[in-house]
Amino acid sequence: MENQVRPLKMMGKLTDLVNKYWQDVWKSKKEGELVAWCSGMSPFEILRAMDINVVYPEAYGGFCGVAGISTGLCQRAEALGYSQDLCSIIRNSIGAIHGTPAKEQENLIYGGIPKPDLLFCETYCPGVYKMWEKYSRFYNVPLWVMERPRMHDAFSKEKGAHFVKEGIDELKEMVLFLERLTGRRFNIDRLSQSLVLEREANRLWWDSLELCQNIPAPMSVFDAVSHIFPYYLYRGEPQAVAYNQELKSELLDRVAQKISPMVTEERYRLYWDNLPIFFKLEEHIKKFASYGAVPVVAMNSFLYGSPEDMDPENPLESIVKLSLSVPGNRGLKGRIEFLGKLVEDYSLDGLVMQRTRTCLLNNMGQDDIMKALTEKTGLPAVVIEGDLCDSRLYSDSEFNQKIDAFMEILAQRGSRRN
Amino acid sequence: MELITAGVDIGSTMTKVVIINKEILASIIGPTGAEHRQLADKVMAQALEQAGISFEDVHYILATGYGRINVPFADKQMTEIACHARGIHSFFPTARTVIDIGGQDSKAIKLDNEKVINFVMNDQCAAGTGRFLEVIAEALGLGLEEMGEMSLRAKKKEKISNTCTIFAEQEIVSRLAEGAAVEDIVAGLFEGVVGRIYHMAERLKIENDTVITGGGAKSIGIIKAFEKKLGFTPMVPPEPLLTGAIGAALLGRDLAYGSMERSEPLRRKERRLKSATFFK
Repeated sequence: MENQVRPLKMMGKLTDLVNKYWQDVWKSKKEGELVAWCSGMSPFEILRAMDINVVYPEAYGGFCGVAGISTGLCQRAEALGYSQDLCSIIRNSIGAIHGTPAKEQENLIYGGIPKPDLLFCETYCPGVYKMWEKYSRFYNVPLWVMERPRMHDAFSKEKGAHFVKEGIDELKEMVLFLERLTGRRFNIDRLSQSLVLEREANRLWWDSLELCQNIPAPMSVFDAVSHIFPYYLYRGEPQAVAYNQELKSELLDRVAQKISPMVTEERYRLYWDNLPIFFKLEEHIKKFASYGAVPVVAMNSFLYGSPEDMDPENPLESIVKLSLSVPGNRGLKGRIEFLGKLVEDYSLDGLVMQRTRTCLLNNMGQDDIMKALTEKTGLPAVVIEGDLCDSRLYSDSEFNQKIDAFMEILAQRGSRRN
Repeated sequence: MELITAGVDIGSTMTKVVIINKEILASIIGPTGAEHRQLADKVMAQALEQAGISFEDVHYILATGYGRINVPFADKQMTEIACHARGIHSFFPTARTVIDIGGQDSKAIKLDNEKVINFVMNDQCAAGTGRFLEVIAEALGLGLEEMGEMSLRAKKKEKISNTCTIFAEQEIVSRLAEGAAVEDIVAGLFEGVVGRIYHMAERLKIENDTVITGGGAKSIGIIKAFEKKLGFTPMVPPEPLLTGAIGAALLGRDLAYGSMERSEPLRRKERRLKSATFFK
C-alpha cells in the first residue's frame, strides 16, 4: 500500500498565526514601539511584560530554510567576509539584515527582520552572543547578556540553588535596566499572569509530544518542528494556549483513528537528533515514509523546558529554573539519561543523528551521546551530515545512501514491537 | 536444484558482475564510465557468455552500488554495505570489521557474522577515497599499483597536509619542485589517506579480524600503511573489487532459497536484458 503524507489540519492555522506575528511586529516597529531581538531562551517574558516586542532572528533562519532562500542569504553574508564555517542560521540572518540592500529587504520573507532597539541573549550559544555583540555596535543599541551555566547532570534544587539565586539577581538588574530605558514601571503581577498562560501552553505542548508515544504516532518530528512555532512566538499569550489546545485535540483524534502523519503502516519508530534539515523537509518525509519509518521524537521538541519547572507564583525563580533545566542545557550525562528514557517511552527502533556541520554547540558530544546510547539500548544509529540553512553542506546522494543502508539494518533486526 | 544467481555492482568507477551457483561461474570487471545506464546490460551479457548460460537461466539478480537503481533487469536492489558484508563473510567468516576503499567513498562496516551492526562513511569529501589516489597518481604520471610499490622504497614520508584533493595535488607539485623524492611523497600520501580512513573506522571500534576491500585494497602501499596503523596485518580478499558483486549474488541466493524453504513464491520482476532509460 502506498504511503500517504497527511499534514495536520492545523497547518493552515499555523501559517496564519506566523504571518500575523510578523505583520504585528512590523506594524509595532513602524509605529515607533520598541523591538528587542532575543535568542531562543532569553528572558523574553520580562520584555513582553513591559510591552516590548520580541523578534527571534534565529527562528528567521528556519523560515528562510523551509522557503528555500537561506543558502542565498548565507552567500550574501560570505560576500561581506563571513566564513562558511560560521553557523548558517547566523549567516542567514546577517545575509538578510546586512547583506541585502535596504530597498530589497522588504521583498524577503516576512519583509526581513526589523532593526532592534535593544538586544537580549544568553551565553548558551557563543555564535549568537557574538552576532548580538556585533549588532549592538552596528546599531548602537544596548545589549543585555544573561549567564546560563550548564547543568552537567541535570538541574536539581540542591545543585542549582546557587545558580537560581544568581539568575534572579540578574533578572532584577535587567528589570531596573529596562525601567530606566523605557521609563515604564515593571509589574510583576502581569509577569505572573503571562507565566500562567505560558505554563498552560507548555503543558499542552508536552501532552502533544506525549501523544506521539502512541503507535502509530500522530505527529512526526518534521511536524513538531513547525507546530512548536506558535508556542515559541506567542509564549505567555492566549494565542499559544488556544493553538496548542486545538493541536492536542487533532492529535487525540488521530490517535483514536490510528492515523500516522507519514505512513500507512508504521514499521519503524526513530529518534531524530538535532533540528531537521529545513530545506529538505519534504524530501526527507518521503524518504523515511518509503520505508514505513517515522522519526517520532527529537530532544529539540523539548527545547523550552518542562511545565513542572514553572511556578507563576514565583515568576523570576521560574524563568531562571526553566532556562537551567531544559534538556539542551544538560551535559552529556544528563542528555544521555534524558534520551535513554525517550528510547523506552517512545518504543524506538533506531537513532538518526543529524550532524549540523556549522553548529559546534550541537556537534560537540554528539558522537559520545550516540555511542553511549547505542551501548545502553542496543539500538542502531546513523549519522547524517547536513546543515540547517546551508544546502551546500548537504548531499542528497549521501543522505539516501546512508538511510538506505540504515533501513537494511533495521529490516534485518525487525521492529522491536514484533 | 542448484540455483543460479547474479550480483551486479555498479560502482562510481567500476562495474562488476558475478554469476554463481555453488561456485563462481563468471566474473566481469569493467569501467563504469559516464553512461552507466547504458552499460549494465552489456556487462551482464558478457558475464552470461563467460558462464555459458542464458539470461533465463539466472533465477535471481540483485543489484548494488551507486548505480543500482539503473539496473532494470535486477529483481532487487540493496546497498553495497549489506553486499560487502555478505561477500566478505563468505571469504572470512571471522571478519568483524570491513574497510572498503571505493572509487567515490570509503566505508567501514562492523559485522556480527554476516549481519551489519553498524557502518560509517566518509562525508562529502573525496579525501580518503580511490578517486583521491587516482587524481594524485595521474598528477605523478604513475599507475595506482606502481604508486603502491614505489611507496615501499621511501626513505622518509613527506607529509601532505591538505585534505582537499585539488589542494593536495597542488601541494605535491610544490614538494616535487622543492626536490622531494616521489617515493617519499607517495609514502606520505598513503599514510595520510590511511590515517583519515582509520580514524573514521575507529568510530566503530576496529576489531580483528579486519578485512580491507575495494579498489584501494589492490594497492600494497595502502595495505602496508594500514598494517602499521592497525598494529596487525589486515586480510585482503582474492579480488577486492568483486566482494560487493559476490555479496549481492549470495544475498540473492539467500533470498531465493529462503523463499523455497518457506514455500513462498520468489518475488521476481518481469525482466528483459536491456539498458535503463529515463526517457520513456
